[in-house]
Amino acid sequence: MANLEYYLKAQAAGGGSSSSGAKVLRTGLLTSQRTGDDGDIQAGRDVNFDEMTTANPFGSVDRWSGTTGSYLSFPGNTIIDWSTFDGTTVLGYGGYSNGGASGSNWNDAIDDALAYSDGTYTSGWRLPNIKELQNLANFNYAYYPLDYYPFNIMGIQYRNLWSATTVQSGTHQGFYYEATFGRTMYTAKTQTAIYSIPVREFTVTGTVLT
Amino acid sequence: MANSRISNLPLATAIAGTEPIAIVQNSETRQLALSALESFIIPEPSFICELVDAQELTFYAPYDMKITSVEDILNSPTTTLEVASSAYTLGGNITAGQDIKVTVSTASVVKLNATKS
Repeated sequence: MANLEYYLKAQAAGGGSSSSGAKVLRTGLLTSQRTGDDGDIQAGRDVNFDEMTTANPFGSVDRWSGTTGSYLSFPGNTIIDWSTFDGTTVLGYGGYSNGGASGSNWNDAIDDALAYSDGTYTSGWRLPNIKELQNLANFNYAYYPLDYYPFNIMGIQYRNLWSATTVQSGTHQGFYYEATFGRTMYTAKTQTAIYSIPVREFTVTGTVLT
Repeated sequence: MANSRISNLPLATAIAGTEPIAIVQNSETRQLALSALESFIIPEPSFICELVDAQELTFYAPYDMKITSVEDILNSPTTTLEVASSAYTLGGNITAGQDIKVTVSTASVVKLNATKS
């Protein structure tokens, strides 16, 4: 007797191909100063700042789990941010190596990001925009919202980060992520004391990232 | 057409299900409608569930059925079944249209073997 097989595929939140409609992430702030403030309401997506409501393809709900299901660490590796996973693609941030010992100007930061390579991921890197940098800030910290694992490599908490976003009211200036309080600041693109990290969009097929 | 080989009969066109066919039952040749065979042609459906991008899947029973077993095809997750928002025990009755929720503990592919009721 013939049998019939149905094939059913579960899709990640957002329909598997789009994040349309997803709420913004929560800030990570856990302490409240009064009723109705951010620490009280903790509005936003996911269980907390670094724990997702839906497991990634490796079965982990940890926001920063690496491609093998465990953490990947700086420098020289890629940190996957599963909060950006839309069922098809996800963002990964590269090693904190751009800008040398003292930072670089905006153009060099973009060039460094475009030229970045990590293992088999030799192309597709770019400088993140200002919102992609802000998405990493955990405001539960008194200072240095990027000073948490896996981004807390030595020195990063004191380093501002260039974004790829230009100030439209003065296109000789670019926005940067200010490290001490996580502010969005801007300065002339010729400023050389600002660092950078590259970002790349990875295509996720099962448990393979390309 | 007596004593003609089947291979010599004219080809049937699109079938309606009402066409009579012959079977042997209780030692005599009897007729029944072709559509009466439907439930025998698909007696044991199976549902392959790809739970890689997400570890939860809900679908609706296409007919009265029972899930009799769960096979792991990719990885070895802990699989939980719910029918109409209640925990499901293998072999329990599922009514057509009821929602069946499959949850696994890790990215995996599982196969639900079923029988039509």
